[in-house]
Amino acid sequence: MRKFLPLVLIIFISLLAPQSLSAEEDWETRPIPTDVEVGVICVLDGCMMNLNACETQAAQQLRLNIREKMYKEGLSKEQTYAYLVQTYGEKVLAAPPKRGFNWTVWLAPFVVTIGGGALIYLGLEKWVLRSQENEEESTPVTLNPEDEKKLEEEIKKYI
Amino acid sequence: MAEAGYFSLVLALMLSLYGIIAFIIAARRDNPIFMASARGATLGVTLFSSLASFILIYFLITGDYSIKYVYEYTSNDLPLFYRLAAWWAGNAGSLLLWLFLLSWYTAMVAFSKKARNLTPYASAILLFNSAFFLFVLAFVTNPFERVAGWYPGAVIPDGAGMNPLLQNPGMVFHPVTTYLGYVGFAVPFAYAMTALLTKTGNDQWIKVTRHWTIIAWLFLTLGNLWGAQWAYAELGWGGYWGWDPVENASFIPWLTGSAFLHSVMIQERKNMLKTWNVVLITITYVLTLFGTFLVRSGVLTSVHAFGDSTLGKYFLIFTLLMLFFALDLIILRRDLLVQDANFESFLSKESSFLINNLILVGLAVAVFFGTVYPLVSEAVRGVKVSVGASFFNPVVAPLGIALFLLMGICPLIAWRKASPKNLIDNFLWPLIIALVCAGILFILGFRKGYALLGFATAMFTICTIILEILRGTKIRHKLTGEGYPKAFLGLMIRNRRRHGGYIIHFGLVLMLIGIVGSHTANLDMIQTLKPGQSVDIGNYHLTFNRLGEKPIGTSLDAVFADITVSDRSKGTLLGYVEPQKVFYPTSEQPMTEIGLRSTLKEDLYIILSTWDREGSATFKILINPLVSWLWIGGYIVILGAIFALWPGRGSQTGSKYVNTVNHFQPLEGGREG
Repeated sequence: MRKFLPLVLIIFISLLAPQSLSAEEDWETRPIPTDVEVGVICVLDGCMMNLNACETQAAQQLRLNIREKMYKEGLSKEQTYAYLVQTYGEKVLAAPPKRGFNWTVWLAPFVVTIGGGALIYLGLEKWVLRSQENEEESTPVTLNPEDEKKLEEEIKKYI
Repeated sequence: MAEAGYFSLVLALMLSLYGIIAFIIAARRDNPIFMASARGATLGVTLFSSLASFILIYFLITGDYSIKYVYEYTSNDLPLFYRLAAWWAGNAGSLLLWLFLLSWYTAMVAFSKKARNLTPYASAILLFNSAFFLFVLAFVTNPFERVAGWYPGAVIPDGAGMNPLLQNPGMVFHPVTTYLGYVGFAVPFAYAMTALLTKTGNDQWIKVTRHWTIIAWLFLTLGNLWGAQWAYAELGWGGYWGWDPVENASFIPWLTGSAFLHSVMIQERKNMLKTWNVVLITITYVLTLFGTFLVRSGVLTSVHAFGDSTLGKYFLIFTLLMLFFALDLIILRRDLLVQDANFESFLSKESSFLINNLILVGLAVAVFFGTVYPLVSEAVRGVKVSVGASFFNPVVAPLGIALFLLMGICPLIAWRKASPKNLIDNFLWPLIIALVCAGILFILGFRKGYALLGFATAMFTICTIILEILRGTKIRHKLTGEGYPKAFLGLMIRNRRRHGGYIIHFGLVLMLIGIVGSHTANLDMIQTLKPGQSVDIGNYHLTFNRLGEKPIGTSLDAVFADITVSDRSKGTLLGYVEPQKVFYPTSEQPMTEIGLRSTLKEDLYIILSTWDREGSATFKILINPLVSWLWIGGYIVILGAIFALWPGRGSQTGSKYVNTVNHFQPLEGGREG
């Protein structure tokens, strides 16, 4: 049996070889999920377009880089992004990472909108209160039939 | 002749400076002689700016490559159509186009018979703008500069040629309309500042500039729409809006301009928000300048920035100058801006307009801060960051949905005070229909929360608009006895301002459907095919027939892929598409010409990526659902704006509502939303 072992091993390896070769080829051509590409900026040649929108040589190089990490080395999306940031800097990501000072850009629109909403509420409260006070002081107007008829005619003109 | 062009600019600059002084003297001394003289100077600026423009066009058409600008942006093989478009292909030419438009707007204001008390200062402010552009053109970026080393008699046989990306009809019209919008907002700004300078505290400036504002907004809308169409067809990445800094630069003033269009209604009706309106038009005007600074300075990387740091510096200085001038004036004249009316209720059209303004401004802040954040991050942290769709989409989407919801609510709430009954009458059915729509989509398999919310919001707003028009038609039919079609037409025409607004809202909702649709059920794949091989995507069966090469015109070559499109399930032939790569002599990289099959349901969008000698080709294939509705909606928005602008009875503002019924003022010309 022992003397057949090398043969068995050779056959086993030869069976494996094409598979590993195809896996090697596979990672280079496998498509990158759109949600991964959308989050990356093509920084290699300074075009600064989203990777999913870029077809330059630099974009192809960056894609190869991502495929190598994701498919050859088996990194997750987040790990691949971390590698890209380490290699190219934060500008490689299509959005500032949600940490530290970057929170300002993420939160500013909502802070402004909510803060503005609070100001509007306070302003409205004041104006409505003032208006109610004025209304109490004023006397309601009743239209005589002639005025009512005039009003009706006016309304007909504009509807 | 180039010298004539340059002297036209210098003369126009001198005349504009004289005109500013003459207008100020005319206003301060109420002097008709100076007024006539200032108007003459304005006309001179217009004529000399036009002359300079025509001279540049002449050089572009005749191909005088001794002119540096002509050399850099045209070549012998460039078609006449694009030779004309080269006017705005580069820095100097596009600034000349801006000046040309601004000078004509200024002349229209100076010779306007409306609001003569405001004309002198408004014209002076506009002439000051012209003077800045003339200064830049005369001393910083002269469009008539000769190429280095040129001497009289020397002939330069050919030019460097135009950027291939600009050789698309969308890029021919998009800049002109965008500039018409940008320049247009200078007019209401000039009148607002004049109202403060002349201590005119009423809403006269708003009434005078209403048409100007809508025209500026209309052109800016058209500019953004055509820009998106150009990006979709020409950039070849499958999308129409990439949140590029230059796109954002024209979108931000559009947002604040839209807020201004709504908030002025409150001042017209209730004498309120005077300060806010002046601030809003100031911000909008300043943002048009700031956008130009972004485009010209090259401080941010963009697919279509001109990038010239010297020019950017001048724009930044001018932008800050105008901002401080406006803010100073607003603070000095704050007593004029005291409002004299109150809100009767939390629940009223007025308060809903405030929320509308809040969200529009919130959106503007989001886009503005996102656009400039790379600069802020670099300045504060010393770290360069990018801000793209991954930031803008999630931040803008919730605010956008809220805005569209308000679009359905605002117009149907009563002025002054809405009752619960009013709310139930107007919103119950639209709400039920929207929920049913969301339910059906959910059953059909839609699971994305934003998509469901987006479609439901769109349905709600469409229903409120239709319900309101049906109700109005019914009332008109009852009151006048007209048949329903006539009553409908009468209703629309008698109050074009209000119903033009409804048409605009309707168009915007269709755009929302297109935007949500194209982000929801889209499909994409990258596939390498040999001739004769097929691939299935969505409901399409695509067969790659062959790869070919063909000349385009006299100097361009294209590699194209011939693809047959069939129905996947029925097998019937749907047509052929031909994605291409076009080789321009002026560009190292070939340009993408997409293969597009567009229907109301979806777009089949094919990009030819690469190919090999054996004839195999790699394609990026996308299915973009409902994109056509984005364009249809956009053109309906434009139609709505034109409808609202159409002069005559029915286009005026409505009555004023101040405090209580005691102060109800007579109707002036029509009821308005």
